[in-house]
Amino acid sequence: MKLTRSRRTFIKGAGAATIAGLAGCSSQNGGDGSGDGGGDSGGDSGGDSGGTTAGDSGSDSVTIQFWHAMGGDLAQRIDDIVDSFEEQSDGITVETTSRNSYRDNLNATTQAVSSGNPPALSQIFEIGTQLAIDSQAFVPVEDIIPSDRIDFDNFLDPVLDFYRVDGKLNSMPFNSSNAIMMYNRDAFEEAGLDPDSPPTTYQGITDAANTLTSEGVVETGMTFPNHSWFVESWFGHQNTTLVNNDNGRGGRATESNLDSEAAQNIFEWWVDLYEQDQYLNPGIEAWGEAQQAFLTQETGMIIYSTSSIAPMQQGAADNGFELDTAYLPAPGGERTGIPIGGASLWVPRGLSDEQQQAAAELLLFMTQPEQQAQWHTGTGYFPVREESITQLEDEGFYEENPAFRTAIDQLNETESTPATSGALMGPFPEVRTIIEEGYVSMIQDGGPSVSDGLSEIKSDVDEALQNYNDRVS
Amino acid sequence: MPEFTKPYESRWQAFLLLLPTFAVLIAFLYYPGVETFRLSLQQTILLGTRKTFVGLDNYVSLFTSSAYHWSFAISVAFAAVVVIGTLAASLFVAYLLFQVDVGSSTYLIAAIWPYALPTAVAASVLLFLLHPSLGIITFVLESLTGTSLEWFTNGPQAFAIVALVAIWKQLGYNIIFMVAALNNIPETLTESAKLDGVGHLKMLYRVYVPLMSPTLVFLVVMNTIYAFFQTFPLVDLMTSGGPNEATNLLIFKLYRDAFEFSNLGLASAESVVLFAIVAILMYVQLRLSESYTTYA
Repeated sequence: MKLTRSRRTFIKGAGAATIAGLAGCSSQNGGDGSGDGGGDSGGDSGGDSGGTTAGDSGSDSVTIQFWHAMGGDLAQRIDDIVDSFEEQSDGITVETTSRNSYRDNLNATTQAVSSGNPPALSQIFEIGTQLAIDSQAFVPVEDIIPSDRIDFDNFLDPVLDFYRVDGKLNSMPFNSSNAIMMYNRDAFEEAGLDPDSPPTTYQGITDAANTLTSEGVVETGMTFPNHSWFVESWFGHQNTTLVNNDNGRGGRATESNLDSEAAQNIFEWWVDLYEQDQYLNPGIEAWGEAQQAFLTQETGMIIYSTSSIAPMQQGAADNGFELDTAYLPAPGGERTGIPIGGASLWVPRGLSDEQQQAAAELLLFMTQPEQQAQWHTGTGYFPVREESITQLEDEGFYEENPAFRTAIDQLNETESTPATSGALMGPFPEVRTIIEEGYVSMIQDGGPSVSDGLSEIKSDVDEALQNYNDRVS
Repeated sequence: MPEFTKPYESRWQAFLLLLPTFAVLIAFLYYPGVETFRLSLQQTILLGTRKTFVGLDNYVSLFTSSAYHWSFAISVAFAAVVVIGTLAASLFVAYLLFQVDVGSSTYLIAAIWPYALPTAVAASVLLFLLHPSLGIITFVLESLTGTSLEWFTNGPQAFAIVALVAIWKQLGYNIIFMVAALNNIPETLTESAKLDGVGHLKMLYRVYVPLMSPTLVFLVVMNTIYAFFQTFPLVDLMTSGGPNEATNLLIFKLYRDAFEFSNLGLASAESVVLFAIVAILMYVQLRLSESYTTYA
């Protein structure tokens, strides 16, 4: 009797645990495989829309899918644009799907292309550009938009430059931003610094940081996410390309310039700032933590993205201080310009002609000056059209919002060189991780010196480039 | 010998009853397994928009990669720490819960609570609480001990933090089973041991642990699977494998290679290898424990 009971209890327990284990597994798969789920759901709706098109042959109603990676307020803004597009178009219905992260959206899109039911438009981050081209899963947007209906002369060059490869525009820039510095005006005043002339150089930042802390205004001078994007921006300012072959634009990048003098300047300052306890390290790509540190006035300065000017201003007001923006500080006096970041819209292969045309219509609508002006003022992302800026200037928007002015001026002052156009390379996501982790190793106790750290980063990046090139050749 | 009645009437009925289970297993386990193996022999761009057959190249590059060796070593170390840590801590808590007379269900719920929290949520919350420069817990710990917690830059600290969180997260699960096992031990045994003057600690490891051994073996196996596969969200959200690869566990590395570095072929090979490692470990654990376990 005793024997049976204990065995049965044991088996019952094991069963329960297996179920729990399975639940654990499946929930984890759900997290990882969101791409799979996405591919499926997209496939279904793609099939539906195909049916509609076939059934209504003769009428010109068509349904297209627009997949993006924006969440919350930004997703709402996209839906608003799409709604007004639907109102003025005849018979085009657009279904938007948010995948919340750029990587998930890229994975879901390429999978949908492989399975034959792609969305008509997909938002892909700038560092996925070469990867998207190499995947051969997309059609250049320049090929599908009728050339008599678009005049690229009215577009902002610094924004187009990134997505123009071999003279051809592969994707339509949509949400583009720059690195920018923001600072706490009240803290500057309290520390006896002039809030109207914020520091513009590395040395200036270090000095201002020391003044801020020695006056006891803040705990630490500066914070910014440990993000390779800023390193890339500082390469741009020193007019040094991140990788060879004109930043991967003249030919496939095979080697990086991460042991260059430009890199030395950047990392020496950044490590030094940390060692002086003037850099609050929020973590790798830790936008939220950096924002928190700045808004709670733990630091007096932050380097961030122009795309967050509006919410940051609001956050500062909520925390009872006044925020101002300044140019991204430059390593020295040289200030060639900085590449944009953000994402662009791609049109996959394998769409029906009607769907492709509808995608072109939507792109044309979205890049109209009015839509772009709204998008810009509501978010801080750059408009792609010069007219949007002129229009806003006439309305006096920039006088009322000087923080936006800084962003536009910084963009306009950017000289167009391979270094400021931004790098193109297949393993860009991996390269970013290597650079960010490389910085962490330099600031570790007993970590390598800046020059040793950089040669390690360089050899890892070069290996990643070579591996990738082997795979595509 | 009790009368044994078959729960089915014919072989066909048995087959039909098993069919749904096998359909699910084939669709979601065996077919993806075969596909993964097939992908591991290929080189891919993104999630396989372009593929080339390369034979065992991916495996060769894994076995010669020092980064992979490192990842393997720390994964094994991590699993060892998590399995032993979880068992020791839960045994201690479960024993206390077993002995307490007043409010035992309240204590039990409190102890099981962490298990009810989704891992990803726990990781996000703890990331803020334990953040080296912004965390409340960090602040309290640092002011109490006078040390500085620098786990964003300090590898061993990051490893310890992730392991601690992993243990904490798994406590509830272990405690449920241990308390159940303890409650199954006949009262008479406890009484006679007490009459013989056996102390609390000795009672635990001389009387209770041997009697709980089937449950403990089962928990070792489940905790091992947990440590290798289910700790992914913790690493992903708290350390991203850093600093300096200190927490780059196999499960995280393969995810990153597949979905972030878009090298699905290589990641599939890693997946096959990880499966083999855990399968072998399972076998060894069950074999070794056979001689120590009493199913009585």
